[in-house]
Amino acid sequence: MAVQPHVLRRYILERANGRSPRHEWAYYAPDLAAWIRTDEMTARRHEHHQRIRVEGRPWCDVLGHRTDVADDMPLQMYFLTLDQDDWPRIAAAAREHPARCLREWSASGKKIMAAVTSETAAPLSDVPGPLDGWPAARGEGQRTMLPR
Amino acid sequence: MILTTVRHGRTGRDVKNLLAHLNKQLHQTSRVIRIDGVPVSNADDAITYMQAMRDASRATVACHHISISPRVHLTDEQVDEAVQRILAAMGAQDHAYVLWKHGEKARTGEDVADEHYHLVVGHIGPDGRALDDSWSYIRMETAARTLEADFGEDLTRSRFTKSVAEELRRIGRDDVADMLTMPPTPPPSSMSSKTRAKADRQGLDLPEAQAAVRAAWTASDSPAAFRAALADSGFEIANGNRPGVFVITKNGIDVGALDRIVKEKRAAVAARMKEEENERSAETARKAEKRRGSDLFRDPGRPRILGELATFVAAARRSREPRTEPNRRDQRGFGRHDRDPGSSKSDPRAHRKHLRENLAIAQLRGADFHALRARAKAVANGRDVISLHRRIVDRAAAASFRSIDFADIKPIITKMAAGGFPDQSELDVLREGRMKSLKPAKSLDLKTRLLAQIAPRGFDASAFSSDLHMVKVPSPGRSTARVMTRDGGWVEIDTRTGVIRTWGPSGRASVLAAALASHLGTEVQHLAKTATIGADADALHVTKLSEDKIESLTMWWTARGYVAVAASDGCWIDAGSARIKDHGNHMEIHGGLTEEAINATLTKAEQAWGGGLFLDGEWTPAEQDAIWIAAQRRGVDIANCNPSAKIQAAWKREQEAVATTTRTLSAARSAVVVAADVKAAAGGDLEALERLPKPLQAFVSSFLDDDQRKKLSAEGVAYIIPELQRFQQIGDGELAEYERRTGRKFIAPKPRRRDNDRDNENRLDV
Repeated sequence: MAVQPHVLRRYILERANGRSPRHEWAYYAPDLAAWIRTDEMTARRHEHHQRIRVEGRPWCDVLGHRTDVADDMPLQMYFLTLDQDDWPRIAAAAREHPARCLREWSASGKKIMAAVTSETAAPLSDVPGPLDGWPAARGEGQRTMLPR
Repeated sequence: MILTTVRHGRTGRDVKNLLAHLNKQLHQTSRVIRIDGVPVSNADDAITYMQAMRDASRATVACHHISISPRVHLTDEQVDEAVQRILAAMGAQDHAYVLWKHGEKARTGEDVADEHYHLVVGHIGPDGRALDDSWSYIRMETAARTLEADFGEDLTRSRFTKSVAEELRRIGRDDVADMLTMPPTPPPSSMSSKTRAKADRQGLDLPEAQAAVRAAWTASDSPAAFRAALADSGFEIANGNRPGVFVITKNGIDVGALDRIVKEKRAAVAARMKEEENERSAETARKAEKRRGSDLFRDPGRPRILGELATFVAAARRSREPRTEPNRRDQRGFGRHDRDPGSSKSDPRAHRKHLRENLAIAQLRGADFHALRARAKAVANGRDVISLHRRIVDRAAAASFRSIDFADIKPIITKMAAGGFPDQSELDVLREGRMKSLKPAKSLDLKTRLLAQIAPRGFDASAFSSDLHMVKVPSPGRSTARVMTRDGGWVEIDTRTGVIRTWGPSGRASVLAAALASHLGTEVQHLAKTATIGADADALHVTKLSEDKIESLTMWWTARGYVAVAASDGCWIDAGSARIKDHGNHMEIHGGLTEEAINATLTKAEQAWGGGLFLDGEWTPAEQDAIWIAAQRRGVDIANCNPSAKIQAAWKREQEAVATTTRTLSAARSAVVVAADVKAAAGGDLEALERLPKPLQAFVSSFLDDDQRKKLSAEGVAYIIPELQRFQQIGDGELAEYERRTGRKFIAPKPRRRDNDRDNENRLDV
């Protein structure tokens, strides 16, 4: 199932805000008329509680039973390359341009897959990467790393 | 002083209800005044302790609830004394107990104190032994009499005067025993706690109403004056079923029989109300007796004989009961048929008059007289008016008589036709035959009301009252309502989507579902039994599960995120559109082998059946393929399953794809590490540079100049990984060029030693 941009945005925001792993239990708050996600101990203290995670069904630690982002290999490849500090940055990008992010990150993930294993063919991307064909020539400037 | 004892705490709900009753602040004040025998500080914890003691023993009850109703106000010392004597009478001196005081509650008599007490005593003592209940009534009566004598109250007349006197002499209170006198007739009670609670639910304060009737009786010197006084207070008086009985009602709610309310003999009340004597009832009764004696033997027709037999049995039962015993059933339903305009068809003019009176009273008092108005309208239109409750009772009675096995009662009818008289065992046969199929009307009433609540507006739920076994209304965790019929069928009503589903035996459930669907204008979906699965081949025997086992199965599924309902035939689990019945060691799938049903089945096999399952019965190749491949994915072994070659090949491909994914992920993780080092090295991190292979070291430190390194260090790892192979090739060329140009091998710059590293080396050298 193809990932939808709004789902990707939800995934990124949840993960960037540290709301992961997702709680597997919930209790019913009659005053709010809503189910509140929480841990098992807290949920069991309330009269109406239930386990949201149904065993046997796929589970994503970020979006629960919605696993399309977790199952998307190129996106997961891209996320593999991120540091913890990178998540607020990409959350801002996903909030502004979710469709563009989805397109670019998927393409990037596919390139990584193609690069690391010969079993996956490299994608033909309309958007060249920032390091495609770079550097065009040997540098002619100073090299301060080399010993004098 | 009146002491009553009831055992409580068989279930959590019972305890909850008891606490709610004891803590109730409506029309009274309630507070806990003493907790003893247990080291806790609040009543809830004390009751929890009693329940824990029950659970630790073989007892079924947790506590005894004793209500203490003194006639006079008691001092704190007297309350202490009363509690200690009651505990001593029960043999519960060292048991945990909690004492509540209820005050400011209206009592039946003006001279009675408006406070009373509730004592809850743990059934299990600290030594783990339960209280002895034998002769508990006599022991409590004895305690009550001694307290009355010592606190200066009048002695309450008892129904067991002789036994109480014996017990008093046994405990050395001959003085009180001598004061006891046997009443000529056992004292009647004007109301039971059930009657009072029922009236309370209907919004009538029964003690207050009875006090008003007594006041009117005392203040009146003639029946006419009494009638007028009652009418002023909003009461009605009507003739009861029995001669000499007068029934007082208020807004259609029974207040009680006049003789019991005023605590006078029935004959005395009848004499005073002479002009109101119930001649009609006496005449009707005489006619009934006459008919009973003749018709039964004249006409041998079966239906009529059955009807007469029922009348006869009822009469025989009444005649067996001691006349002095207060008949609570009669007390509850005094003159019901006389007051019910729907059931008395003999005099419609009288009905209209009665209804007009009721309407006038209701209007005057501002009551909700919508029902009365509807009833008046129906009578005016010439229609028969039967209440929902009446229809339920009638239908239940018809169902019960329909279910009587004629083979059982044929000998009894033959005997009676020959002039014989049915003995006790034969009457018991009749009663059992009736009771087998007849639930208490109250229970039927509740279920029918629940069905009416979940059914679409205008649906006649009373037609199915005798078919209902269980009705589950929607709850926050379950959006659909469910009905289990008495023949084991299920109906599910999804009011949101308007879908009606049935499963299980298609008997009354199908009829009910069809009626609901026609009312909603939808079709019924029947979830037929699809498949059976067992833990192994030996687990397919169907055995009846205990309630505890079904409850534990329900909890097992709920803890795994499934919606499960405990029922008498097993635990039912929602699996998408399918329903699964779990019997512990085997399961039945109804409504198709959906993906959710397969998941639930495999979860059971994985976590409860040791990772294996056995397919029973007929399985189509497609179903076998579907469950087989899902089981392979979860590592569950399937017996009695023949997957097709196609699905086996698909599984092989899936395994290969998984292996490829695993390899890709592993390679990607390695590449991420290298790319991160390249980025760090380009940023000047010499330690990262040292970790890189030689060609990449040459690429970063020799091929790139500082500006290029700066650009590289600013790029993301994701963009470096695809270029790593190219960078490595450039690095190879750079290495060769370096050797050609300088004549020596390339050595990457080493990271600077930190001071403490040098210190460590020096220390080692030394």
